[in-house]
Amino acid sequence: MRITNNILSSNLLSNLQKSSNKMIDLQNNISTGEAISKPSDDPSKITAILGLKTNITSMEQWKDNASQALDYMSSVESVTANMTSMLQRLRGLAVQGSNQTNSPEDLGEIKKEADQIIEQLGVMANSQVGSRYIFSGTNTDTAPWPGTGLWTGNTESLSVELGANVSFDISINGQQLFGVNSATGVSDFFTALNNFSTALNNGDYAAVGNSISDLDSLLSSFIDGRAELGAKISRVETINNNLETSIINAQTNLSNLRDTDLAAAIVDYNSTMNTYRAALSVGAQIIQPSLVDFLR
Amino acid sequence: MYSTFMGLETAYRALITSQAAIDTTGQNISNASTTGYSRQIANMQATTPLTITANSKDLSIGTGSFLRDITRVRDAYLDQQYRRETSQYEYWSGKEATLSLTEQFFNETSNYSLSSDMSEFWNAWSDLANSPEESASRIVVREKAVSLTETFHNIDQQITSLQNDLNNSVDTTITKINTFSDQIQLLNNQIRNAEIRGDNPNDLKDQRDQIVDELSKIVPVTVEESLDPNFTDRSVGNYTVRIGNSTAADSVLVTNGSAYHLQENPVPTDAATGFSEVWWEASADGTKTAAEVDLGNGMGSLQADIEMRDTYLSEFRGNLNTLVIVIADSVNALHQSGQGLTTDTGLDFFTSSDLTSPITAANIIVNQDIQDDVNLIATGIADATGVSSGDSSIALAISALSSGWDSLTTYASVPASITVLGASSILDYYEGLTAELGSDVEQSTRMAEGQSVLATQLSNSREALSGVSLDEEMIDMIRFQKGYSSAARVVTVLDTMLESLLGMGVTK
Repeated sequence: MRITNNILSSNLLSNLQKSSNKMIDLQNNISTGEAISKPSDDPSKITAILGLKTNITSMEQWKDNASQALDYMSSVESVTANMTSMLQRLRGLAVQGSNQTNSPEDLGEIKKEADQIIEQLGVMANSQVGSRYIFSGTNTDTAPWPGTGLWTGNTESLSVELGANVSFDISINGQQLFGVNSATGVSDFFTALNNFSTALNNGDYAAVGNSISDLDSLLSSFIDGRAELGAKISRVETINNNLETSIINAQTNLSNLRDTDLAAAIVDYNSTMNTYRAALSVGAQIIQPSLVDFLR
Repeated sequence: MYSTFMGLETAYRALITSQAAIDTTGQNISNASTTGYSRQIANMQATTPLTITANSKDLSIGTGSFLRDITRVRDAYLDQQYRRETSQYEYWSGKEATLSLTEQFFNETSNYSLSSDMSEFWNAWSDLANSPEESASRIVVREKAVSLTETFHNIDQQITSLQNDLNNSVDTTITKINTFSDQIQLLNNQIRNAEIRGDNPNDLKDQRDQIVDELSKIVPVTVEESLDPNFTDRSVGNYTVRIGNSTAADSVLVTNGSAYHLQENPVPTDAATGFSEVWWEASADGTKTAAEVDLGNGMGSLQADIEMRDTYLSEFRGNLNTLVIVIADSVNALHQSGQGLTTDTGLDFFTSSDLTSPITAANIIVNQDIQDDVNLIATGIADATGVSSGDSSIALAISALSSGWDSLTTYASVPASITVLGASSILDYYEGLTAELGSDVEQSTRMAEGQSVLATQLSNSREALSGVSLDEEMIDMIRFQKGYSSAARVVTVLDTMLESLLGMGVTK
C-alpha cells in the first residue's frame, strides 16, 4: 500500500481519539464510582439494577413502617400494662373488702381508692397514641367510650405494609378486651367495675366477693390482649431485623453490579494513558520527517 | 539530411516538458493537505520521430518529448464504495446521536429519575397507610403524585422538542441538498465546456467529487459516468447523480446541465404530526413531477432523522403513554372503590387535564378536587354507614401496586389496559422499556463504530491511491530537475558544437 502523509496523520489522529475516548470513559467510571451510568452501558444489567434500586427503596419504606408500628404497639402495650396493674390493685381491694371483719368505715376507705382507680381506668379506656384512639378499631378519630358508656369502636384491623403484599394488623381488639356485647355496645368491663363500686357503697360483702371473679375474668382478657400484642411486637421486630439484613444484601448486590472495580479501572486507565503517551511521542517523530528534511 | 539546429529544438522541448512536470509536482505539494484533492501526473510522450534516409535505409530519429496531458489519479469504484459506507455510517451515527438524547430522558441510574419518582409515589401511599387520619401524610401523597405527573409531562415535552429539532434538521437538509444540486450542475457545465475544448479540468472534477462525498453523508448517492458518443476525437463525459434508492423510478438529482430540487411537502399526509416529508419539486420543463423521494434503506443522516422522528420517538411516546395509562387505571380502580375522610366515594385519583380526553403522559394530572382537598384521598374501603378514618386497606392496596396486580383483584376488577400489557408489574414493564432503550443505543453505537472502521479503511484506500506523498513528490522533483539540468546541458553542448562549426574556415 502506498502510504501518504495524510494517511499517517489521520491514522495517528484517529488512534489518539480512540485512546482519549477510552480515557474519558474510565475517568467517568472512576470519578462517579459507577461503571454503569447509562442504560446503554449494559442493557442486560440495567434491569437488575433498576429492580434492586426499587427493591431497596421499598424495603427502606417497610423498615420505616415497621419501626412506626413498633412505636405504636409499645405505647399501646404500656397503656394495657398500666390498666392491668390497676385491675390487679382493684382485685386486691375486692379481696380485702369481701372480708366481713371490715367495718363500714373501712369499706368507705376502700371505696374511695377503688373509685379513683375506676375513674382512671375510664379515662385510660379512651387512650390515644398520637391522635389515634387505640381501642376504637379503625374509628380512630372517635373516642371508644363517649359519655353514653356504649362502645363506638369496630373490630376492623389497623394495617401497615411490612413487605410486598404483606399487611400487618397492629391493632388491639377493643371488643374482646372490654368484653363488649356486639349488639348492644354494653361492656362487661364497665358493668363489672360499676357493680364493684355499687357493692362497696352498699356494704354488701357478698356482692364485693362476687366482684373478685368478675375482676379475674377482666384481668384474664387483658392478659390475653397483652400476650397477643407481645407476640405481634416480637414478630415485627423479627421482620424489622430481616429487612435490615435484606437491605444490606441488596445494597451489596447493587454495588457488585453497578460500581466500578477501582483497582481494575485504575490499572486500565494507566495502561491507556501509556498507550496514549506512546502514540503521541511516536506521532511526533513520524509526522515530522520526510524526504524534504534530508534534501539540501 | 535534417536541420543542423534540430537538437536545439529537441532540448528546448525537453526544457518545457520538464518545467511542466515540475510545475505539476509543485501543484501536488501545495495541495498535499487539501481535502478531496487527487494527485496529478504530468504524462509525457515522445514526439513523432523524423524519418531520414541514410545508406538507402529509413531511420527514425527522435525529436524529443511533449506534455501529452495532466491527469488525476482517481478510482470511481473506490469512490462509490466509500460513499456507500459513509452513507451507512452517517445513518447509524445519526441514530446514535438521537438515541443517546432519548436515553437521558429517564435519567435512569441517577437518583432523580422517573423510577425514583415512581418509588417515592408508592412509598408515600405506604406511609399514608401508617396514619391515614393525618393530613400531613395525605399532603405528601398529593405532592409526590404531582411531581410524578410533572416528570411525565417533562419527558413528553422533551420528546416533542426532540421531534421538532429533527424536523428542523430535515428542512435544513433539504435546502442543503438543493444547494449541492445547483453546485454540481454548475461544475458539470464548466467541466463539459473545458472538455469540449480538449482540456482535462482535474481540479474542477475534484471539487465535484468532494461535493458528492458531502452529499453521500446525507443521502445514499449513485454516480453514473459515461463518455458522450457525439465526440470521437476527445473525451467529453456525461455525469448523472442519483440519490436515495437508485432503482426507484425517479431518483435523478443532477444530470449534466439539469439540476432538480427537493421540497418539504407542503401538505403532510400525516396531518396529525405536521412534520415535513421529503418530496421532489416539479421541474419547469415537466421532466420531474412532484412525488415523495424514496430514500432507500438504512442510509444517510436524512433517513436516520426521519426514522427517529416518525417511528422511533412516536413508539417511545406510545410506550410512555402505556406506562402512564397503566398507572392511572390501576390507581383509579382502587381509589374508586375507597373512601377518604369524607363521605365521597368513586373518585378518580388521576384524570386528564381536560377531564374528557384519554389520559396520556402529556395531560395526566392529579384530580383537581383531590388537589384542593387532601381529605378526599381514599385510604379505606368505601362504607355507606360512615367513615372509619383508621382504615388503610385501600392505601395499602395502592402501595402494593408497585409489585404486582394482586391487590386489584382483591378490591376492584383488573382494568383492560393491564390485561393487554402482559407485564407482571409496573416496575417489570418499566424495566423492559429501559432495557430496550439501552439495547437500541448500544446497537446503534456498535453499528456506527463498525461502519466508521469500514469508512476509514476505504478513505485510507482512496488516500493511498489519490493522496499526495511528499517523499514521492520530492523524488519526482529531483527527477524532473535533473531532466531540466540535463536538457540545459545539451543546449550548452550543442552551443559548443555549433561554435566549432561556425569557427571552421575562419582564419585568424
